[in-house]
Amino acid sequence: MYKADLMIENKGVCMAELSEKVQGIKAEFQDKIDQVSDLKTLEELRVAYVGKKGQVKVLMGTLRDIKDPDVKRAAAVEFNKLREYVEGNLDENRRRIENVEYDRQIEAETVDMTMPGRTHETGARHPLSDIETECMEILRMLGFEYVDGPEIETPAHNFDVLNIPEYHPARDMQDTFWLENDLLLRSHTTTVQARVLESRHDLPIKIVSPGKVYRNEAVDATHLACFHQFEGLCVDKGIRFTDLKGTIEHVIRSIFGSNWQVRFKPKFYPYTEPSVGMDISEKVTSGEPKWITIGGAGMVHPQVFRNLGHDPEQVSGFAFGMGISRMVSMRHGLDHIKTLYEGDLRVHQAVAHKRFEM
Amino acid sequence: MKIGLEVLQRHIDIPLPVEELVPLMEDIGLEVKRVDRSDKGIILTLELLANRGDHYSYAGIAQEIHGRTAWDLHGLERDALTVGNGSPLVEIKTEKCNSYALAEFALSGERAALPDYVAQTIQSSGGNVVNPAVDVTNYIGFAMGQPMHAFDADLVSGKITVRETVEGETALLLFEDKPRVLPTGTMVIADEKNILAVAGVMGAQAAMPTAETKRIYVESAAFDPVSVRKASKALGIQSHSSMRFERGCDPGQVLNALEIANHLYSLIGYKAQGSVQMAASWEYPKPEVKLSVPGFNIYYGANYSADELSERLARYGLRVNEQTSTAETLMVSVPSHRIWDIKEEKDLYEELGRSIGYNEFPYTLPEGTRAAKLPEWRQRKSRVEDHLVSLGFYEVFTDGFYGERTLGMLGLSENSPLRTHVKTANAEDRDYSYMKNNNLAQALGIVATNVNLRRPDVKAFEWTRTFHPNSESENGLCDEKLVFWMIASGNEQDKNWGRKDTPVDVFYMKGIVEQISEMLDLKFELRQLPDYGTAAPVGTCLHPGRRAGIFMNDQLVGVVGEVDPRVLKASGIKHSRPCFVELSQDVLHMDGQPRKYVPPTNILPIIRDLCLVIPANVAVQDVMDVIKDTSPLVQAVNVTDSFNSEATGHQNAITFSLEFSSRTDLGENLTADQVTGETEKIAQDVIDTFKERQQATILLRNAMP
Repeated sequence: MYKADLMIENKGVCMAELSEKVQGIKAEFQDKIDQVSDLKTLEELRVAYVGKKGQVKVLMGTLRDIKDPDVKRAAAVEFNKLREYVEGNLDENRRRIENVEYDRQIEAETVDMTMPGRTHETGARHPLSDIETECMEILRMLGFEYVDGPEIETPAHNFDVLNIPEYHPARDMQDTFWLENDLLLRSHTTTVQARVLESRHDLPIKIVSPGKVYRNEAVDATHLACFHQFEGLCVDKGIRFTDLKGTIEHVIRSIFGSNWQVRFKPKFYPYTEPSVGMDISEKVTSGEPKWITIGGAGMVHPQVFRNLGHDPEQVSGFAFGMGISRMVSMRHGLDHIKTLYEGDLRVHQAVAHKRFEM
Repeated sequence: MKIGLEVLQRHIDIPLPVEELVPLMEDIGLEVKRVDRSDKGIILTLELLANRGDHYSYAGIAQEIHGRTAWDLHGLERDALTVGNGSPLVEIKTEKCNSYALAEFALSGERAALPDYVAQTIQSSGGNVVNPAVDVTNYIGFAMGQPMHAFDADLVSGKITVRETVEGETALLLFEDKPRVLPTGTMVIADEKNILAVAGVMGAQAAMPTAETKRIYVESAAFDPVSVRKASKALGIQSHSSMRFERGCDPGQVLNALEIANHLYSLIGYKAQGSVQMAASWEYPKPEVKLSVPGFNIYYGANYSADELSERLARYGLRVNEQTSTAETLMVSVPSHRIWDIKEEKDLYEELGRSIGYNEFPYTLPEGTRAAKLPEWRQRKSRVEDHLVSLGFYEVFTDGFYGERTLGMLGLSENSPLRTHVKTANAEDRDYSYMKNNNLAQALGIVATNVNLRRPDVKAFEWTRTFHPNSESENGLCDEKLVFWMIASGNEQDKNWGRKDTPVDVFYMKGIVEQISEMLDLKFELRQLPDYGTAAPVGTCLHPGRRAGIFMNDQLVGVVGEVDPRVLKASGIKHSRPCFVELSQDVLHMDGQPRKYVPPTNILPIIRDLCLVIPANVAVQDVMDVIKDTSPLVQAVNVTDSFNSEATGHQNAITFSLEFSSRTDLGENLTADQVTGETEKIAQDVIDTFKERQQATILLRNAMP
């Protein structure tokens, strides 16, 4: 028995009646709450006992009618205990019911997470465009700007001014599609360089000119009649061969990483001299590096300068063509770049959304 | 060209195994495509530089290797000949023959076999051993690069003439079984009866020496490269001889070659008869080129002395004139075998670069390098691409041309404006006959390809160009137009379990066009044009009821629409209604309209729906414009639904969602009753406006019976 109960008992019957009433409410509440299994009933029970007009609140309201201060104090203590008991029980049961309801909800809502996720697959730029854009961005930081030119060209821009006269064996390097009016489909984007050199005389000239070119060749697994080229030109006073090397190396290392190296081999292009082929490889610590041919380049031929109204004694420059198809092959492991020109979107999808190796 | 390693070793000492020789050769421009090992030794297949005729021989290759390595060279044995005055046997009647020498050899003793290296040289290079008289000339061609020709002197009738053919002349060439007509103006070697050879290209069967030939005429000449190339192209014959002459042969070797022949013929029992007849002698140019030593060193970032450079040049046969040269300037004489490709200082830079090795020079960047500005149009292009990629579109590349087969996808009528093309004149493949004037044919080809591959959801785009015949154009043939196109077919979204399919339709594509418009800061206007002119001929292949012109400042810049059912039928595509957009790339360069930032407000809008039944002759856009004009309280109008059924009298019932600001300009809050009243007023205004404007009856959906 609590100490307060003893005190009230000693003061007379009034307190005993109140205690009995409290016990009655408590017992009744206990009976009811034991049967509650949902939050709605629990809330009804809360209102019935500790709501504004609930039994506990009503009982507490009787305090003001008790005159004897000792009894009043003892009753207040008793009533508060009752209120705490009811509220504590309500809270405890709320948590219990919430847990039960949560468990039920979780059980009902559990899914098989091994089912495939719902996706919205993105598309992709063409892999050649990606590499082209990367090269253009790298070269833009070196001052190169994009220039476009026509695909239908004159023999002069495609051959003559580029030091490829008629009946020169170099014309065999590029089988040409001819059109009416003695026009042709450009066989290389060097035509853009020719047009720029022809029309611009303010230095420096730094351009890149990616685009479609056409070769009248039998199409096979490795040859296309229409494909992409990416060329650049840098002309200024005092441009050196070493500038050509440095620019190419910068592009290659920017794309593939600083552990890649470039080597230059003698080549022949009628519009450059010296002309070089460019091979790249990853540096290796043992064994021979695997060299991959990545393009051609060279110093602009003095005759090309003369043909286009520049004095080769005053200006010099370099031109280069990057094999972006080869770069795409290297980056994505594509054996035949031709498949990227055939409109089979499965190929594009496979390149853009590569699978993990098993 | 093929060469035998053992044969090459007769021309230059090679102290390296082939594994080390091959990378060295590649580093000096002699690209080795294959290395074959057989009982005949090691054969290297080379890809030679197109401008270096002197590489087309063992001696030339040896000289190139010597230029890098300075390994010892070995010349060919020769017995001297004298050059006589005049040429009673030969007459030159063309200016295309620069040099022409003829020597006569006669059997004067026992026939003997040629040394083994002759056959080895010929066979290692892919030639055939024929008979000793011919083998000598073929050997010299391969060994030192001077093409020669032998004739059976007893079969030659009268004088030999070097001349050009007249119309209709024929010759029975070697390795052919019937005579063929030679192009008029072809340089030939002829006697009084027959054509004996097409100069520099191929011999004829007349006067061909045999194993029994007793007297031989041997020709050593320098023919004009262009003339030989024209003949070679016209006849479709590419011989070792023609390849050599086309690239310019060595005029200094004409007599030397005959002296080597003299040595070899003497080994097999033939003796030279009299002097060499020099019918044409070419005073070829003998250039002297100035080389600046400091200029060279700046160019390559190197530090070579004049002596070092002189020594390297000498390895290629380029002699420095010691009398006129200084420590800073070298005067370099060009030898006869290099007159075709060494003409100025940069040519010498190239020689020295190869001799030293391009990989020996440092790397620099051009001085004063600064970044260039990223052009606005490229940023805009990139934004469009990003958006399309996010929607699942793939960028594709198509050819600039197509053939009748691809064009057939469009099922064009005879008078279609898309029938007019720029045509290729010499396409090897008929699929490249026409320069494309539209992109729809290839786009449908891509849809068909992917549908056949069971990948029916197709979204593709391309930045490309089309070609439109126009004799008034700058090139007098056609206009090239830079265009963008995209096609979508199948479902809007990827197939996902538990989700309904949503097939692509013209409004999906229109929505993308509107988003592109926003990305470009341009206000495109889409106008439904049932009848298309020729401004955008590809529009004729779009569904007449489901296509629109895309306008910018009243200028037609593109089309959007669903592919015409007839076109679809012709294309063979089934179970799909592809939608297509073509847009001029001019829009990337058009000035964008300035846009203003409008901050979001805390005053939440009040939404009311208004459903109107709109007859076919009224454009929904016009109705939306009237709604906006009618009430200043309307902040936005959206279409939330459209249906068409018996209940709507088979007219379109459109549900508009009207977004009202909940506060007026005066700062008063709108009540629900006020908004309802405003909505009713708007509805009535719309009905009245179109009744007056188009005599069209618009009904409130809830007012319908």
